[in-house]
Amino acid sequence: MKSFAFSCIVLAILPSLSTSYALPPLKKSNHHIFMVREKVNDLIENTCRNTPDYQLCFSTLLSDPRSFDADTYGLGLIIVDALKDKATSAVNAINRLKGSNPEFIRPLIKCSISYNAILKADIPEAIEGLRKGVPKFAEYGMADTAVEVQGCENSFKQSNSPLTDLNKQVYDLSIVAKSIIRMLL
Amino acid sequence: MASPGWHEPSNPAPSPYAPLLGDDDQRTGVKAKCRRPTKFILLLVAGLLAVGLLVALVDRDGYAKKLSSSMPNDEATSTSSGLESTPRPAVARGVAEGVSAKSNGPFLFAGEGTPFSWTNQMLAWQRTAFHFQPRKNWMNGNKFSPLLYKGWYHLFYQYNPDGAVWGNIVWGHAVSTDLIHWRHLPIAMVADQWYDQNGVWTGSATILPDGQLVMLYTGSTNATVQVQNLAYPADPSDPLLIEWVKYPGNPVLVPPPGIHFKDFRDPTTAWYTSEGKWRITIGSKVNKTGISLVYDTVDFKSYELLDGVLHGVPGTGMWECVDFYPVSRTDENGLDTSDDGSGVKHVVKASLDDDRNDYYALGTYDGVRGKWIPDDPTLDVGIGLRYDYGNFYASKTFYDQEKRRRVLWGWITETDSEAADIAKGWASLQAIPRTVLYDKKTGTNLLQWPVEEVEKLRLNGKSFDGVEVKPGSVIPLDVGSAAQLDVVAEFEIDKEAKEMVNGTDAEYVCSTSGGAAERGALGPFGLLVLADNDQSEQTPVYFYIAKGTDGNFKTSFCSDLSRSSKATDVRKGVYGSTVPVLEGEKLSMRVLVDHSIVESFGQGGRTCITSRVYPTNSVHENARLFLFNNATDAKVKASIRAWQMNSANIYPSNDSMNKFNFVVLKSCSAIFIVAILYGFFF
Repeated sequence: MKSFAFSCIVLAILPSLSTSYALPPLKKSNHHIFMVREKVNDLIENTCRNTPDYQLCFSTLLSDPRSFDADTYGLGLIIVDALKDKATSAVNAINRLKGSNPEFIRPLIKCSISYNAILKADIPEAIEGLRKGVPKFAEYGMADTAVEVQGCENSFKQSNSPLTDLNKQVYDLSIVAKSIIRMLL
Repeated sequence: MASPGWHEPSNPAPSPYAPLLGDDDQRTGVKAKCRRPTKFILLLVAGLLAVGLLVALVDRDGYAKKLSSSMPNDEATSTSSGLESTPRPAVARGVAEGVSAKSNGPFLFAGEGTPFSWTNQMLAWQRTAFHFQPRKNWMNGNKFSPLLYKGWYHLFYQYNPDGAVWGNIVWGHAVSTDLIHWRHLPIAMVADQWYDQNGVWTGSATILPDGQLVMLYTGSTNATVQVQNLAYPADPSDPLLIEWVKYPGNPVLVPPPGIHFKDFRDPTTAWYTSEGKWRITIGSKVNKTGISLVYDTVDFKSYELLDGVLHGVPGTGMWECVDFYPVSRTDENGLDTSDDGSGVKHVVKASLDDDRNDYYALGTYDGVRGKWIPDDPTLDVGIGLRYDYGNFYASKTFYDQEKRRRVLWGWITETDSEAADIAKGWASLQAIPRTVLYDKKTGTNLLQWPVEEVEKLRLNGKSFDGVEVKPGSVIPLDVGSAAQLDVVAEFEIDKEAKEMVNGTDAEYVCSTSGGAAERGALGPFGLLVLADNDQSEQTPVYFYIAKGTDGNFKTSFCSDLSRSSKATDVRKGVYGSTVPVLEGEKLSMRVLVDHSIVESFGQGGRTCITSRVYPTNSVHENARLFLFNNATDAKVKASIRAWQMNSANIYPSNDSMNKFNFVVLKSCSAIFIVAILYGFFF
């Protein structure tokens, strides 16, 4: 009976524990927003300090307004979203490069496969893992992103990869995402 | 945990591997002593097999009718290789959904050099022949509960019906009568209620004294809160347990105060308390201390939280899939989860989310207080022994009341890239189930051994007795194709050399050693599996004996993956740990090879290592078995028994083909029997 009563109480407060990272903007006094933002900035600051790339983490999060209302899961999702943008740019670059140089034919096939895995497997896995509270599999997705993008880069000979910049950005974001996700285990 | 560094591309090295041995190898083939039956016996056996086959087919046909009509009929493939080890059909290529996954786990591969170009043929070879895995797509045993109900073993596993990556998790379901040959059944449970909308996760079954079955499982609610729910079979008389009902009063447990709402999962099987109540434990954490909460219940619907925890260990992080069970100190059989008394020790096992390994410890359970104390605090849960030093996670045990044994079952993930998994169309599988016993000889560890049923798959037994393996030599063992093997090997190291060698204070650790290529006075020596003729790829499984300055010996049991594949996008490393060896004992190992899986059991199962291996050349007929001794000072004498392993054919090819094979095979068997009878009478 005791546990039943307890269950009821906890169930009543469950909705307040919701982890939606995209909360509606606060419509209260400026002072309140300032307070909240300062507190949240602390979360961004502390989170990024615990990643291997503070600058990248901090600048990526600051450039997305959702960061100010997000918890750590939400911050992870914002980094994954940023990674998704870069990966999409990489796919566009791959499509543009097709036919540009005979030496690129095979590497670009490899890169298409790599980015297909990143966009269709790794990123959905990371997003679902973060949304559903299963960081383990989100970590798997980001760990594999690093592997895939390295495979793409290495498929070009003699450091002549036309995708180095994008690959490196995707790689670096995957490392930041992975380290934020590990904070959630 | 090392993160991978970014590597600028470099020209590939001509050969990525240093040879295991120097130029002074001595390579001599050894012929097996084959027990070849005479032609007459062969004919007789063939005839009997054919009759048995027909009976089996008819019998299975009856069983198959119980299955959903949507289930492919895979009888034909199950039996077509009953007479010989036939190559398995290629796996369907290319996942339309385009979703894949796998796991490099927390330990990242950092690839260098030109990426390897996998061919479909190589990838198809990786699929296992006698391990459980779904027909396609992703599975993780992370959330499953094996059980035996009315003569059928049931496996419920986490399954993504939409792709080879984790996601969209539902409960896959399969049944077996021998833990080896499995039948896929329809999906048992999906996320369709507010209290499991974000996931139907781990469950554990408890069989009540009246034979009733109850299942507790973790649901992730619409607000991603982890809660425990109750489910039970819709028709308790159905041995296949096809339909499941969720209790309308779910959830039955929510996170207690002080526990984060995402740290409350994986209820255990219940056991009886001295007060006549049921007790369960659930994994959690407080800050970085892994704990297991304890609840009592009488009806599985309402629960009482006990004060304190069953056990907790600082620094171990979230405890997943906690398991708690007794082992007998005196008997050779397993125990029911509720058994207790003076002749019993209790095991606590936790799967650590932080490093994805399964740790256990032996200890004493105080049923009155609901507490457990480890025998040796330095070998506590999460900081001491592991079930397996390779790739093995989220395991659980169940008590097999018919065979009176406790069976442990773990999940093995992929260590290749997700791009490869997309191409393969599947990812992850279950290990071979293992019986678990207390090691009465050492008193410090468990013994894990493949269930006896796996021996039914053995074919073409060969033995090699008293083979002398000199320091720095590799000896091929003629066992034919070695992609599916069961090998039992015993080693005796030269006693004189053991005594002569000077002791050192250097500690040997498998994972940080140079692997099988690092030569010591008394090791490494053992087997090379999945090796091609010139050992351009090889996976050594070996012992390494280190002699201390005090003259004592410490033996390690390791598996070295660093030369297992020419591919650069797979995880490689050296797995293993120390293994207790008592005075007068020979060193022994058993190795099960099943394509991309190598499961190794050292010293009767005191130390176990499961590896994922993705060779590119040592596949199909090129996969060979060798003995090796890379010690510098000691020769070893080895005795080997090896069997090729039949396929369990857990996965079918496609429906129509199976039906066709089934009819053809039945007809052929009948004709064969008639022919034998004709020959006999006329």
